[in-house]
Amino acid sequence: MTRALLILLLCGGLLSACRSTPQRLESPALPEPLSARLDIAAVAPATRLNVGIRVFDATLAAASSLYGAEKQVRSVERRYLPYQLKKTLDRSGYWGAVRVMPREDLSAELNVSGRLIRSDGVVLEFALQAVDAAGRVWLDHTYVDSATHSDYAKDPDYRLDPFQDLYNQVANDLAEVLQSKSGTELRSLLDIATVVYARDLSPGAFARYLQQTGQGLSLVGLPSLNDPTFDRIQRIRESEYLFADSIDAHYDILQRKLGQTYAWWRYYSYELIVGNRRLESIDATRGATRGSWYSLDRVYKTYQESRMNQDALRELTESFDRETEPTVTEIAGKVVQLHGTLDFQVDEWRRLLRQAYEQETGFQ
Amino acid sequence: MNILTTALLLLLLLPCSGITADERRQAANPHGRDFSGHWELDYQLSDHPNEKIRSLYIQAKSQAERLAERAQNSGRYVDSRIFNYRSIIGLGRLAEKIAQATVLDIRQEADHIVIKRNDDYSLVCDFTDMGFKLNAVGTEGCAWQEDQLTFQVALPTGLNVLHRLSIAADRSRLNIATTVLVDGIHHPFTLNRVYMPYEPGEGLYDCEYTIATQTTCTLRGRSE
Repeated sequence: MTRALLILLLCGGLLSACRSTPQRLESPALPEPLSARLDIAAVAPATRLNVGIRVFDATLAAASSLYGAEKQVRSVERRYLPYQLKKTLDRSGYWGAVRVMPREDLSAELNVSGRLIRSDGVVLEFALQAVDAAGRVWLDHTYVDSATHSDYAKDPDYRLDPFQDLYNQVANDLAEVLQSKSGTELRSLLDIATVVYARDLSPGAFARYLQQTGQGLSLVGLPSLNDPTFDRIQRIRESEYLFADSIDAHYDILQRKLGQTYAWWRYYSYELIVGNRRLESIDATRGATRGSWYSLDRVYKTYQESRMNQDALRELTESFDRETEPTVTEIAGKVVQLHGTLDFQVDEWRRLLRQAYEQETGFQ
Repeated sequence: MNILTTALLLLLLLPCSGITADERRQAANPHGRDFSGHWELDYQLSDHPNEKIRSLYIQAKSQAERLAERAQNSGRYVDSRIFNYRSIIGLGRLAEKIAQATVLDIRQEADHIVIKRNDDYSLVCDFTDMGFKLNAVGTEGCAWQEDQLTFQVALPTGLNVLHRLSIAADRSRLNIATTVLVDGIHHPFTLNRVYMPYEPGEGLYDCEYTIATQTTCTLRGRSE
């Protein structure tokens, strides 16, 4: 009777689980691995656009206050992966400053946002959108790549990303759009971005220079070069660049600090998932190997190892926001120190910028 | 309809009853059990693996011998797995390994619990999402069985592990009953590990966990 109840408990639970998820994971076929060599600019472009990459969005399954291991990893990845893209764009040589920001970078001519769909060390999939300051969409595409055994043949090193081909592909696609634009279009985009930035600080003074058309924003005119208000805006924008650099540096620190742990996480995750796929196939064809003490022990150890790895990642991620360094930056000649999470720091920065601008100009 | 069939049907129907998120949260901990705190193994009250293995082995062996004798006398078929009593040793050793934790650090909130175990992975349960999930290796999940919190794992080789947590009303003891069940082996093996509360001392060191340096400890009272 005891055994019957136990089996009922175990099997009942498993059966009830089948109502929402299949009892046995039918592992879907893996996407084809991408192969893309990074297109590097032979000659530096005459007009270099600044690119802001926003921290990725990630779909989180449950809304519980408990950050499950998956959520913890996502929390790191949504910051980590944009920085990997930034480094790739930097290497391509097509762009001006490329920065990762928690929010849209108002000072950038091109903003890239992404939504992480899948990342488990075996497959990386995200949807990307790149929109310029005029509101024109440069890119709206879902990218997917799968890793192979050769990507994990050696001990992991975060400087060698197993999904580098995916970032190369994104960089190449963006470079292709950039190359399709004329010099006039790009110079106009620089002006539009400047006025959009000014409009954000002082809509009353600068909104009139922009006009919404079917193809996005276009310039109706430009403030005169000796307009003191516009001059102030330009100076504030310069400090915005410095602030964006400080924020971007946090993501650099994150990658340096977490890079190796994350690389190992991917490595283990790949090993476990691929191992599990192998186990599934072995079970289907060689049932005789099931149940030996060696295999039971090995499978339990693998499970235990994967869970302890998830624990470590959970603890690492929990400490990320706590450890975020205060940002020291300058506004209107005054050094300010911003504390708290990066999201909070950006909000605080924007508030201080507006305050400084209002104090200088009297504009509300 | 017998009790087992009814219970099975109930288990099957539970996830279908379209309850709202709020109701789920309210039902997150129906008996209001609180396992939080620091716990250490009470060796006196806990099962001793060697003794348990020996007693179960003797019991299963004599049962198998009786059945074999009866089967021989009556000429009736008896499932040969019943005679696999030697597997109790292997199962017992595995259970001992699985239930090795001697110290627990339990953090419990309204909607989740994290049970940190020394030298082992944490048992984690999201009370608002207690269904079974597939992970990289197998299927795992947690559930309330009356006032006991259970964690179940089903691994590909047919290894099933069930941890059942219960706590005394006065919170003086916490029991984790770990049951190991393997497909094809007739006898499940259960190991009861009883824990008692303790107050972690302040110790000589202040330790801090950071991403960059992992855990760093400094002598207490020594500040820069």
